[in-house]
Amino acid sequence: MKEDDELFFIQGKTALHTNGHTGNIPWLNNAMPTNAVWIHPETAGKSGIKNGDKIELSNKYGKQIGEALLTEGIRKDTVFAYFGFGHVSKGLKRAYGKGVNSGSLLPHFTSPVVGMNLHTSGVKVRKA
Amino acid sequence: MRFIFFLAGLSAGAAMTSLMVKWIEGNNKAPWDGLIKAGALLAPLTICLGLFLLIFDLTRPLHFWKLLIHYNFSSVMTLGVLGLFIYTPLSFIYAAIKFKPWLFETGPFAGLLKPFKGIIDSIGDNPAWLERTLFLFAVIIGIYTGFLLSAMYSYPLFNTPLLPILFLASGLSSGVAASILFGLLFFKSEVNQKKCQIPFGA
Amino acid sequence: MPKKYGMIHDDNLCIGCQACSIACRAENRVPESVYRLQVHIKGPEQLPNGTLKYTYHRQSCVQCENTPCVSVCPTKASHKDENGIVSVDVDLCVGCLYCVAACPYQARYVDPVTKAPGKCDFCKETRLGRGEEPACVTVCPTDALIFGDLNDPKSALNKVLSTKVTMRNKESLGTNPKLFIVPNRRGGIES
Repeated sequence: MKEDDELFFIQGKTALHTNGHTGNIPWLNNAMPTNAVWIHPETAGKSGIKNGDKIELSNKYGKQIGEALLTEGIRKDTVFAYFGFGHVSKGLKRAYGKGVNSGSLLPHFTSPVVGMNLHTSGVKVRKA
Repeated sequence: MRFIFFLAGLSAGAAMTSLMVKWIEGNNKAPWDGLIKAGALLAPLTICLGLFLLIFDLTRPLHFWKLLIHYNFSSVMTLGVLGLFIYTPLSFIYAAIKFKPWLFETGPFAGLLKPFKGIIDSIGDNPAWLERTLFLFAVIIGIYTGFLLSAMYSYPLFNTPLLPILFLASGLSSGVAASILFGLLFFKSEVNQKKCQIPFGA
Repeated sequence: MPKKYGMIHDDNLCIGCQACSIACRAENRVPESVYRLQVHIKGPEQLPNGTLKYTYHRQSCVQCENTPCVSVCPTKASHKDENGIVSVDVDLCVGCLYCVAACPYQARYVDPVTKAPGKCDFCKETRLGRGEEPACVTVCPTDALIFGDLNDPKSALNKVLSTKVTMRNKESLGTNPKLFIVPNRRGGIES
């Protein structure tokens, strides 16, 4: 699920939006219209990425283009992006196409014993 | 907004220049005569322009008249309004006295302004009370913009006690400069006339 | 005894969800482009022990007792009532924006509809009159906001003030604000 040359990819929920449902609501969309990809400054420096740069996250499950946010609040071997963005429905006019669709980078892998869907994956990060 | 501060300072400076030059003995001939008249004219005109721009600088300009009847004496802006109540008419009267011939006899409005000639005449030609009050209030107007800004003490540049003095100095210097400029540009007829007389007299 | 309304914002409990901001907008019909209240998430900053923390800063009027905005208003449109709440009387306002510039906390905005300054007034016009707490306090999912009467020794506000360490922003300016902050000492995020 995570290759050796990839960075860990972790996700989370933002307190402002409720999953993906609220992406198009005007007041909430004004407050947070998009999600950025959190990356440690050292890791970013190795690939020549500066704060605000367009970057591409890719693995065998998908490819996404997002904006980089350099922060010390993430491990050097990990990148992070919120769930609930990168909407694909054109009808969601305020939310369509903004941000990274974190779900599309996840494997369709069911854990053998408990049967839950695993969210562990890795991504390769490069400047887009 | 910054232009309004500049105009207020300039008006006060012009009034102070005109009065100071006038008070020094022997200054009622060229080229100082032009300077006095220029300052006397600039003071009311620039303060009126400044007040006009101020009304349109408000976000609710149609309500500006509320400034004139509601007062808050802990606010520098109210004190400025009251100061202007006195300074503006005085500066107009002073200019009227200085330009008496043009206003009531030779100028284009002579007929319209005839009724007011009596009032201006009764004040006299060199009313000391008028000049001293005008000078006092010109200083007040020059200083008050500094106090206006110094009330915003969270901006490090504004919470210095030097600010009112700075504004007064800046107003005075721009008033002097403008008076000299206008004096030489528009009133040099007196300047040239008087200058021509000296060789003949010598 | 008149009331003296104050509020505590607990930085340890706040999660920056902006629910308070949205509730305020809904309750007080705040126009689209301006905010009475926002929570600014600042960080991550390093604590002395080497761990990281985020600070959740409540950006709104702090209801000063020694109000710079009331003393500079030329028409007394910006006024403080007997309960210590500072608000704007739109009828008297001429829009000189002196109060907007004088506020050290940048708490005021220009209302695009009335063109007069607006600000947080502890829901004075809407909820306080009905006997309810302000919208932000009621809606906060982590109970990070506590509202009450500083003059009442038995209020929940005073109980928390006496048990927790609180500070206030820009105290050195002498504005005596009535919004208290419980500073964030959590830390513990290791980079």
